[in-house]
Amino acid sequence: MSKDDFEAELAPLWSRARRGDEAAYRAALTIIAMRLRRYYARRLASRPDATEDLVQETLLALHLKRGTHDPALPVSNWVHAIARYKLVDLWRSHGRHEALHESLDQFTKNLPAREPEALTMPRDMQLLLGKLPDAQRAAIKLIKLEGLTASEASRRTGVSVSALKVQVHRGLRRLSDLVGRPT
Amino acid sequence: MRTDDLIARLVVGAGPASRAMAARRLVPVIALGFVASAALAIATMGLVPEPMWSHQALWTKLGYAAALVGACAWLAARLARPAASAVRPLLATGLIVVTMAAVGVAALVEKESSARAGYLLGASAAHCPWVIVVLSVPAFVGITWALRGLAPTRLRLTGFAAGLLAGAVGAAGYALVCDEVSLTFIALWYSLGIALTGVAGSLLGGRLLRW
Repeated sequence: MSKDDFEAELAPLWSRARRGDEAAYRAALTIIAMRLRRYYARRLASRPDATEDLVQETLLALHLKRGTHDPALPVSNWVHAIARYKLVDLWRSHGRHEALHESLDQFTKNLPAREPEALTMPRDMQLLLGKLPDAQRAAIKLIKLEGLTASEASRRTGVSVSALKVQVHRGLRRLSDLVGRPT
Repeated sequence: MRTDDLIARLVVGAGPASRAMAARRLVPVIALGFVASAALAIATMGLVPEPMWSHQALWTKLGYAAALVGACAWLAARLARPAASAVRPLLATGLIVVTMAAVGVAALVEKESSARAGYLLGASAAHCPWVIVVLSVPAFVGITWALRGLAPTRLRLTGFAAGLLAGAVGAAGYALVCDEVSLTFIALWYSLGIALTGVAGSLLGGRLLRW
């Protein structure tokens, strides 16, 4: 989803949410959470455990500070400014408490740079796979990622071929739900 | 907690977003800060003598401080909104300071050269800026609290704005007890006191304004 798509999708929901529409607010926060997850997963590649915590902290901040959004400005800019602030704040306090070797200057200099897609793919993939039930994850790993046939995978796991196929099918559907694309 | 659960909790009873959040938080602390600095100044140094109330210098001090309070409050409020541009309030603040400086220079040039040093330094130049810094402390505390409840993302710059704003409030309080009558004195030493609080604010901003 590009930045413009994000704004186009979010803006109408957000303006309804501002007037007190809770369903629109829920939808808006859900879209924002997905956006934040990708934004942080890419930048916290070395600390995947921190990603979801930061997503939640940022959602809470957005909620508490939503009166600071100027309706004349794009809501996506507002969300990104807060997301970036929370990221820098994490790095800053992380550096202070755990005495990382990298200086803050090093971090902020690298901040706007995006990692190449090819490098972040496995990270995103692992994050997504982590959200699947064990059976579905195992089936997808064996058949779709390692490239075994259904019968080879069946022999290795002791699960029947048809059960494996069902798990792969369900798992893929769930993955595509997670990334927000229609099946 | 799962993120979906968090969202569900945030949404329930969220109601409409609050409006004019910056004004509702900043205006009361500015008013309280002024009352505190005026009370502190009058209690320790005594109100200006009666004739000062009809002198242009007193009203210039109050007008200069009030204009800066307005511009710096605007600046702080813009900086407390993520992604909002602060260029226009910055320009407004600069314009007010430059205007006051021009008035001060014009008044100085009119004087006989022998009288200029006295017009520039008055009797209290050495302590005027520092007293303004001290009198700005109550306002600075309140403004810091107000801004933490908003969402400043550039903390040092926001701290600078908070310092200037508190300094202008402190200067307004000091105007009630200061018997200097020179416009050049105001342009230089009042501005210096306000600038010092601005610098202090920017040094403290990174720590105090985190949210």
